[in-house]
Amino acid sequence: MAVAPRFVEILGVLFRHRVEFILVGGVAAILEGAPVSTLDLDIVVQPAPEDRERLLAALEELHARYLDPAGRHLVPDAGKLETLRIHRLVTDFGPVDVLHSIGDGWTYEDLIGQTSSYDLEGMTVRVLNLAAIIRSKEAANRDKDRATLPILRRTLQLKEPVS
Amino acid sequence: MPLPRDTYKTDDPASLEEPGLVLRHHSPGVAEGEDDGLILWMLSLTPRKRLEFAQGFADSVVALRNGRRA
Repeated sequence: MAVAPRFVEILGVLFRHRVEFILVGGVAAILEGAPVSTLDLDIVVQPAPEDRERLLAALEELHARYLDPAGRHLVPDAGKLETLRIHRLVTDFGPVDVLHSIGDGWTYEDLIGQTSSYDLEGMTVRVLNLAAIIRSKEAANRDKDRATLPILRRTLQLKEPVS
Repeated sequence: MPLPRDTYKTDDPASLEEPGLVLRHHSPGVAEGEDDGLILWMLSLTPRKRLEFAQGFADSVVALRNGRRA
């Protein structure tokens, strides 16, 4: 039986372990005001060794394991976090994608200047700006990205301040 | 379906959560193929409420999926 993602609980574990991350993807778009839907939580992480250690501790608490079509029980470890660029995980609180980059290879360092900080239940969460989310989806250019682009663009138009 | 106009009225305190946000004068409903009413309603919410929206949708979809499998 599928389990609904628990967004706040996942963010809470990442926050407690002081994981440096940027929230991207559908949840980021929703926090930026776009009425879209998502069933997972996507983050871009810092690749430094100390950040990987904190991330690994958080993933262990979440009981994260790789989404494996063959049904194998594969869990993240320091080696995988260092070498793999995309980690499609399932956790006790739902699916989490841990990414080293999005779009055209944009890393945490590339994206950090395009974020806003949101206060959620006492947690400060860095969220990718809607304009950057749109650029990342244009670059990814998958069917599901193209499907949501019109509503993301319209949301950006409606929220743009008058300059 | 478009939401009633008063769900995103500009004097709602929740509207003030988004610095610099300007709710332009658009008729609620579909414009240029997009549902402006729904977007404006979403923009009127606080980030916490937006996350609750996402959570509610995810809960509903998973419940439907599980119901079909049952």
